[in-house]
Amino acid sequence: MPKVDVCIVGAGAGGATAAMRLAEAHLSVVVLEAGPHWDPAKDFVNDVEVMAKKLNWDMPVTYAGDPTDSVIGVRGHTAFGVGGGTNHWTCAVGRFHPTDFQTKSVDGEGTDWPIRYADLEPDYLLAEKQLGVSTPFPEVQLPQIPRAVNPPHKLSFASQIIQKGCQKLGIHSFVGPTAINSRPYDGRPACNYCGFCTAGCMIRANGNTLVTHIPRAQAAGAEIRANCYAREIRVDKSGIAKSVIYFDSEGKEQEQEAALIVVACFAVETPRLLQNSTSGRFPDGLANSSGLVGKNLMTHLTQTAVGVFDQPLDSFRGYPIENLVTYDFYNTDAKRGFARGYKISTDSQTPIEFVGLQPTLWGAELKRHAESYRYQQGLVAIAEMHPNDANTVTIDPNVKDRFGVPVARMTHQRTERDDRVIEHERQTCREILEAAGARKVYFGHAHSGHIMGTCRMGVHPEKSVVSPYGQSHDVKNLFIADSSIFVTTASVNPTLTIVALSNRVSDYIIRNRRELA
Amino acid sequence: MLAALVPAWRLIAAAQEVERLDAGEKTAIAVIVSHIIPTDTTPGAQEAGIASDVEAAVEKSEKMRKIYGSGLQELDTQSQTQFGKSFVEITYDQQEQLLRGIEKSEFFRSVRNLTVRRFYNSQLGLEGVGYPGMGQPHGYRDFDQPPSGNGDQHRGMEAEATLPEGEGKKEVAASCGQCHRLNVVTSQRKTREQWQQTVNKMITKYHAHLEPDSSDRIVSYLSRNLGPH
Repeated sequence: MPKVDVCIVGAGAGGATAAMRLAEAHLSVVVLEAGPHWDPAKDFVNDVEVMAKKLNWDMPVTYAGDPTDSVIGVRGHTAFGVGGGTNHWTCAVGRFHPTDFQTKSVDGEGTDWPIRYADLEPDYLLAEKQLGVSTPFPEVQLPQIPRAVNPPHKLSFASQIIQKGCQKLGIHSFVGPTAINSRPYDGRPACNYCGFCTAGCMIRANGNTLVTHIPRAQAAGAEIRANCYAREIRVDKSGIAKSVIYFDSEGKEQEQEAALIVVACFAVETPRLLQNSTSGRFPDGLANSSGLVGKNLMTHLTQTAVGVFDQPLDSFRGYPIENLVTYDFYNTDAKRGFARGYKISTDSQTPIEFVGLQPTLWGAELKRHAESYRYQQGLVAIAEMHPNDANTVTIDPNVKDRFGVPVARMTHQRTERDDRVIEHERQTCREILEAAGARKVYFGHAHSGHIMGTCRMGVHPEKSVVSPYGQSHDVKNLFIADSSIFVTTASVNPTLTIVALSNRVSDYIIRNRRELA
Repeated sequence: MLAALVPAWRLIAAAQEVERLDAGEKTAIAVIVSHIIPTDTTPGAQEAGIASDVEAAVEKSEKMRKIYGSGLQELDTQSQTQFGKSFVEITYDQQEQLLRGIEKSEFFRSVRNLTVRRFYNSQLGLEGVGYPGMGQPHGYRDFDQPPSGNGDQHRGMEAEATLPEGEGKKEVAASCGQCHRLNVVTSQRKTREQWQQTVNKMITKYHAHLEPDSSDRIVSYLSRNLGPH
């Protein structure tokens, strides 16, 4: 393949953003994406089961951690195809809070980022514009609450009931910011609240990078090479990244040379790709002189709770997450017995999810449970998990994928703090649901698909994998632009921050293009 | 269409030869499935044809095939020991009793989970929980308003109010409303031919009890009042 300026691995939130920014700066760009190039109108259907089969990442990932650990219940959960995880995301786009960047200095736990909230604020603004974010309502005077490009959404009927519960308890709640069009925006229609966000948005009202960034990247000349599965990154004699070796849609091995390589294939597959890229010069994997590639695997401490009410709510109407959200439990409160906190959001249940709250019932009893479907509304709390270098993504010594490439192995142990946090989330969710009038509360599984932290950023080459601009400390023409470079998880959904960071990485590349090439 | 879109290498997976289920095994699976989601005031797994979905899933995986083979055999052995007959020949209550006894086994949990997942994603299952399944192009622009209908699960109760006025309205409310909510009907716009196909499907696939002239009258009402925009 002819050499290009930039080869990007992965066309999800991070990769698509970098592709657009770099192509618009007149760099020649090739994006390798393992999955297909979806067409929302043709390929997406309003069927959660059919779409899960199509979209879920189906290459093997093994697990060697605590077998009772439900924290990483969705192992290596990302989506397949151009747009990556944004094909099935819920579009919840809270910014990190200022304290999230300095948990060590503020709360004595976790690790400080090498950047501060103010450093990333311009990139958040840009990301919100690119994704078509709706403004929260009522407005809250906090720096991290955006006045975004689109007006607020309305509260669903069920969210109004939950908000009354919050008010009784003195909890401030508001309509969250979402990357769902609240009006026609950027050539895409307004949302009509069908509720199928996680099955792929057929009408393109959701800010999926497949429809926000990729068309702009292509218009600027980027080539999106779908169905191409990267195996390793090769380096030249001087230790400069030279090319990406990948399997094309026929399964044939190909090599793409590039002056710069940007890796953005999810915090499980990114460290896998680097660790599978060994050479005489980099025997422990590429960009890994710190030994931190694959370390500090983190997700969110997540708890779902569902209340059943006396009146029908039909909470399947509207988008599933952050129609109503509260940040009242976000920062540290010494009374709770642990540092940092969580956000709580409304969480609509599909019929299968709701029925799944009774995992052992069957027969008439199960049918009666299922029939309360119209009467329920769920909440979900997500909390920060601290980095710990014993939690890892490594290369499985035994298991290989269908191309013979060793697969990623996740290892994770939960801590006593994690259990305390989840217990607190359960209590608070229960209180809110009961104050809102729920007569019964069910708890769902505690798991999260948000994977972060496995190639953290930092100033010191021995304590981090990449610089504060996503540049490898070891290989100067190698960048990482996905949630791998997070230092901590914060307690908001990660995608907005991925898009913001990828804009930051892209700006750095554009500014320094002459020295880098 | 899928083949062109998805890379060849993603389709290579697991084309293993799995021994087919025999007729006896299929009958037993159908019985178990009908206990997991029984037919009572609303349709169950039987009407939704879930047994064939379970069979298909089992015949795709060698591991599943083994679990089902030995699970079904064990069930028959227990049935013979306790009741002197095979599992499919004993009474419904006796079957229920045996199944309660194995409900923690890997085999039963597998049938249970497959059945539940398929049923509550099938049209009848979704209608049974009052989920109209209105995705695109309708959506729910009224999502900030209280739900329409009183939440009563009884079919036909919300009835006539939601149907447009016209000859045959009562018959449509009574016949269609027996099994599903009427907004499933009113949310759709179809040609006469398409309505005829829908009604035929209700009769052949979902066993709706309609006399021939009744189904003609229903199709006429639907195509007159709920034709294409």
